[in-house]
Amino acid sequence: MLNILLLGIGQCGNRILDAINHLSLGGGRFSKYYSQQQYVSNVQTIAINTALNDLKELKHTRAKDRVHIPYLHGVGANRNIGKQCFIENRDMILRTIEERGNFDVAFVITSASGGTGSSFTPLLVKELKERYSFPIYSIIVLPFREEGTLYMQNAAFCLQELRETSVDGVILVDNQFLKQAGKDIKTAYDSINRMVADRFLFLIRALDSEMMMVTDLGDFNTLMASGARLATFGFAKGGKNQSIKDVIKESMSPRGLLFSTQPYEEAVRAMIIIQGDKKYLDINEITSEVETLSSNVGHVFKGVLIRNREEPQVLTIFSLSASEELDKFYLEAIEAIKKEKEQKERTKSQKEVANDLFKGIEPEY
Amino acid sequence: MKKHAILTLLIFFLVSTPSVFAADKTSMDFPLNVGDSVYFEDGYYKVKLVRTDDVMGFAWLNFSCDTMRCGYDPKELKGYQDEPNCYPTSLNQIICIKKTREVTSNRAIVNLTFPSDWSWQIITAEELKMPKLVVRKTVDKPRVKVDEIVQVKITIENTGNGSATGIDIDEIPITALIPMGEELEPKIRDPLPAGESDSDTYLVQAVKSGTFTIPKTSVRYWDESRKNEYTAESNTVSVTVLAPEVKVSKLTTTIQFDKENVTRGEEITATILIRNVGDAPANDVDLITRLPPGLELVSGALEDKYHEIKPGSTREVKAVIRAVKVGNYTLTPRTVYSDGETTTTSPVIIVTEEVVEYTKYLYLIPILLILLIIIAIVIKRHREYSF
Repeated sequence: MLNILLLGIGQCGNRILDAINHLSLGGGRFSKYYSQQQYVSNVQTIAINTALNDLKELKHTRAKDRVHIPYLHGVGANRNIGKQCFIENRDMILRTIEERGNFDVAFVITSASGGTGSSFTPLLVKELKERYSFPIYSIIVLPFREEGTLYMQNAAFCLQELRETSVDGVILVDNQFLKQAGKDIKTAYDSINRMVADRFLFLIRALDSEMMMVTDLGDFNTLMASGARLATFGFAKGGKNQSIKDVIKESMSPRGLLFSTQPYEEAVRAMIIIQGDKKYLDINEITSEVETLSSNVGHVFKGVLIRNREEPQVLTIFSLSASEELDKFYLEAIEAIKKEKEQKERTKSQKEVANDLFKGIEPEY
Repeated sequence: MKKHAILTLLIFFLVSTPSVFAADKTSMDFPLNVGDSVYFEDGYYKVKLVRTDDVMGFAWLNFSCDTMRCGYDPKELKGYQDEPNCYPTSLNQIICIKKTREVTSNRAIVNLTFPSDWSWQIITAEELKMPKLVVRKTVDKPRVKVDEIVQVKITIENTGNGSATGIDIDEIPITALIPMGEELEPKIRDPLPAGESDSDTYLVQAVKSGTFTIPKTSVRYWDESRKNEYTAESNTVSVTVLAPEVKVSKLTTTIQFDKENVTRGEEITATILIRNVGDAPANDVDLITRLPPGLELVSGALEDKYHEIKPGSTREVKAVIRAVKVGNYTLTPRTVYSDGETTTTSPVIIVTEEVVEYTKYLYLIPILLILLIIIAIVIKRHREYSF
């Protein structure tokens, strides 16, 4: 049995963590009252936040698994304040993690654009890597592009700083790419959180199950160590009349991916995990699709999990060597930083002009 | 004066009693069948063989004399061998039976001693014609209203073996039933032969209410020889005369409960019905019902007032009462109205403490335990997930 540490940092990380816990309880509205978490592995979840209200909003994460960093009421999307806060509370955070025992792997889920998550995550990963030998992967959520310059620059710097640490891999989730998931902003966020939760639970179940074709944590580590240590998930669930070939293709399509990527062009490794009743799992179709994929991306890890009376589901993980979308994101972020800088300078200039105008003038009453 | 009167009566008595004081007596055997009589002095004295006892040799003889003149009551004397019995008394021995012999079941030879100068004659049973009248009185309507007319019928039947003559009917009127028309003298065929009957009627008018008895009818009659007088009486007849109708109201009050055995705290619905069973409207009706301590009124009313309740109409009063104390209770609704008042007593309400049979709820224990466990789990989980 794997020992997995799952950390949700900041509001976005907390909510995805809560969605994972919710699904692990069965997904029902009141399931937390009667159900046990159905993790195959030993999964320890910790939600960390500086905003108390964000922690209070969680519904399916135990109170003991919520860690409040008592620092103002959040760091206000200011990564510098966030970093200072982390430094001041580092020992407490690390001690909390340490108390949970030893782990085989850790996942840190956060939004790259917020305050707490984007500032804590690179520092926390760095601290954890210095202390522990287990692989640490970060699931990073990129913001909607129109959310503002602060979020864009936060996301860019967070991602950059994170990649500079010895993090074992960054799994990308792009809100902009997934914004069609809901009609309104809340539905969209909830759907995205649910999509991430679905894929993550599928992954850890697959890594810790006896399979017909085995993929284990070692395979996953190898996969994530490839390329730029960037990755994303694809997922699809097939119907009774849908061939497994179509389900695999759907998992790699924009509808199944969490981040906009061209798997056949940008991926260097891939992992395909197929689950379902054996009547749906045509070995020829699976082999055909895997061969097609491996002819383009190189090695493909594949695992097949037989689950009686279940419809076919496919999880694909792509390790990316490069990402055109990420490059575009960086460019947009740089533009945002420039814009922010110009605004700041303009404000400074206006202030200086005003000071000059008022020089030597005293109010008269 | 008084002394002379007594002396005159004594002389008259002696003269009118033939041969009583005659010194010479004679004895004679009379062979008689049962029912035969010996008439002395043309029937002034009679000796009749009534019955015999052939085993013991006894014979019973009925001695009598003219009741209108001699003044001695009839007497039955037993005759036996050498056992004299005398009539009218042992001291005043006018006729004596000296002995009897050759006694059979219906015949005996009887030796009688009587004054020597008396004439005598044996009258056999066949020769003795005796009328016997049976008088019956009936009315056509035993219940009448005031002013109604009742027909009284007197029927006389001669059940004897001789004709009845000189029939005299004495009918006594009463003040509540006044005879109509002529004098009260019913007419019956006279003489009335044996075995025949006749009747007469008369009308009376009821003049006041009550139950009245029409007295017996007395009948006096004679046999054909006009020597024997008889009497007979009828039965009496009752006539009820109803009072004139007066229209009055009459209320009946009833009270019922939907349940009579209740536990403390339980509610009972009481229904009071007031019905006018009279033939006139009841006015100013006031229903008064006092609740005993231990019962309390929840809703409705147990009291009411009505200006009028027409004949045949019913008024209903409903109330919900609650038993607050253990005990037995009755309600006594009282209805006061223009023509009187009526009070009724309700059935008994038995109020007991509620006895909970816990054993029948035993099955709830595991359910409650399960519920408690579920609640405990929910609370525990809620606390686990509350931040």
